[in-house]
Amino acid sequence: MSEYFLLDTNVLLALYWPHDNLHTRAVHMITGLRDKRAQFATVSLVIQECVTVISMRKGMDAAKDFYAHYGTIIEKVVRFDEHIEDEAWRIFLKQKKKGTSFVDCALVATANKLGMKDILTYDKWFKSCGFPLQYTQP
Amino acid sequence: MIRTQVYIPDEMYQHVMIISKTSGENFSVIVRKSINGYLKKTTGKKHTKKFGEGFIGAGKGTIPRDLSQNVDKYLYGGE
Repeated sequence: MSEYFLLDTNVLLALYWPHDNLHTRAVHMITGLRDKRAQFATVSLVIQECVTVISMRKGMDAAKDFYAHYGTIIEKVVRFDEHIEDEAWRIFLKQKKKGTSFVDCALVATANKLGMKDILTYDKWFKSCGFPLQYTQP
Repeated sequence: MIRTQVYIPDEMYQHVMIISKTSGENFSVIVRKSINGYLKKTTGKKHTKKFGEGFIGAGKGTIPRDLSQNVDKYLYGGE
């Protein structure tokens, strides 16, 4: 196994906070995949979402600490180019459900464009986009 | 980590302090990054931290326990 797994905001936050309800599950999953030589990536919007919520809940010291260390998990941060952005908008505008997240659409767009098969997330919405969530759903 | 002591020229110290103040990174982080850059340049290898070091379980203080499950609610006020 040497493919990249894309990480969603919820998994990164669960890994970072030891008191989060999903922390133990997230650690078990990520270390298990790492033992199988998996590599992890995300999109820049996810990092931006993480540091924003941490800044809002805990302040800038915590946000900077997260920013300083996420690179020990994430090996690749995919930045938007116009192709991925166009694809993210296409996916977003197709949605009908209230509360659809553009960041989630950006993850799907990135996975589609770069041929990544797995998104690690606790959000079941991704199933409707063809991602089985086999590693995160019990 | 190993604690060590080195002598550096005053001017270099001042320069690093300025970078530290403007970037928000502390002195030792800048020194470690600089050594990393040197090692990469001279040996072609970068010192890499262990997987998840300083990240997994590193969040300090209390947060809502459902933060990861309801991040949209906490960020955007969604349901």
